[in-house]
Amino acid sequence: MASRRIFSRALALLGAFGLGVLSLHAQAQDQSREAAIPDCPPAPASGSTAVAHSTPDNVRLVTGAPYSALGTSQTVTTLPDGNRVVRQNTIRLWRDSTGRTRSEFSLSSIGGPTPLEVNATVTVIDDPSTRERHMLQPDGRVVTVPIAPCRVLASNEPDLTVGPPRPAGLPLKVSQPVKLGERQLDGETVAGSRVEATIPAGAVGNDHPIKMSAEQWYGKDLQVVVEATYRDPRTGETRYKLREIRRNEPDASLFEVPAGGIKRR
Amino acid sequence: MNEELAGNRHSHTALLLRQYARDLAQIAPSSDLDARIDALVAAGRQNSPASHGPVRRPRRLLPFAAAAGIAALAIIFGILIGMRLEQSRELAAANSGQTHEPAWPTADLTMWPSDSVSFKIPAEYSAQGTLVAVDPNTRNTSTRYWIDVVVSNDGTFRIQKIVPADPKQKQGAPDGIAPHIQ
Repeated sequence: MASRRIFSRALALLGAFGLGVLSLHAQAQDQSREAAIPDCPPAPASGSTAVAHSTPDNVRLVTGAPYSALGTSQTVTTLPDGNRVVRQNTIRLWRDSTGRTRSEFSLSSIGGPTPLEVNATVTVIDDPSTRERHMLQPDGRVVTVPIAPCRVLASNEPDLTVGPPRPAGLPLKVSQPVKLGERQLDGETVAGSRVEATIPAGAVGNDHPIKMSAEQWYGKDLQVVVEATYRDPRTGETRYKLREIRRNEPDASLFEVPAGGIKRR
Repeated sequence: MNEELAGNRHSHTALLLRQYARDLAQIAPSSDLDARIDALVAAGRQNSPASHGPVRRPRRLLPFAAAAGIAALAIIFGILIGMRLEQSRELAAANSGQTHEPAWPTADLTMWPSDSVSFKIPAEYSAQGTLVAVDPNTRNTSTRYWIDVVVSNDGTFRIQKIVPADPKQKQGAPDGIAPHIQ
């Protein structure tokens, strides 16, 4: 009789402990979800000297600066026989005052010397307030994944002394970025910077150093890259330009996620 | 002979029946039987649970409740362990030797911050040795790969990883991440 009583009390204690742990876990999740969105670091690769690539799913929250635009990225590769291969990808961008964004990627070719040939469209809606990314597909399916946005502060200019991230697998020497000053571009004040990088001779079986460069012009109001030129003798020259910039509030329906078929990872 | 035996048996049975009738006639209820029954009933009431206050629930439910609680905890822990195992399996697959980065990766010379999206594209090598995206719902004609791609709003489009597709996996995109191939 006594042992049964002890057993039942121990069981009750165990159950109460389990419920307590579960409720604490749920509370912690709620608190972390409700916590304020942190400020973005001052540079894309701040504090890092050996980052293979920039963060795969980088989401920045910019509020009070709605716009829509069309970004065109064109890569021209000149073959040894003088022939030219032109590839183009486009991005349609929308952002509302609250910081929600919609991006439509029309892809034809991705990658470097051996590119992935693809003819696909991907539409992505980011909602930093709910910390969710919705990937829309033409067949009606929607994939929702969590995101960890950071808040962009207009006063917090990127720290260009840090420089771009260094690929871990590539023996790359990167120069200190050079500021190119400011200018007006399609009514937007843009700040420019240029960086050069070199793969030393013999590093990848090359006779001579391979010299690359990047030049970017950053819109200080829109907080996005408005124009950029990337040169790499292995792939050619890629020019990116944001056109058709409109600073109106986009239609709210663009940020609505179709109902049904939502999956979460 | 047989008739004589049958007559003896009949007379013996009749004798026994007469004796049983005499015994029944002699039986009379005990004078204190009713008193003893009343005493027993009274004693039973005093020892009954009703005499000690409100009625208690039988304790038969306790083992079932305990078993249900243990089963619920086991299911919760099982789900948590399963999620961990699945995550570690995905991590192991991602870190396996089959996964590789593209030869001669493009250098990331991004200086200004940008927003980026990563997703997977199913692809196969063509006869010319180039990677070509394929419809995820078609049967593969050669070794199929999942290409991890990162696109940014600074005009950069990069291949992050090339992962051989699991041949045991059904045709189609894993978890619907792959974009639609036109």
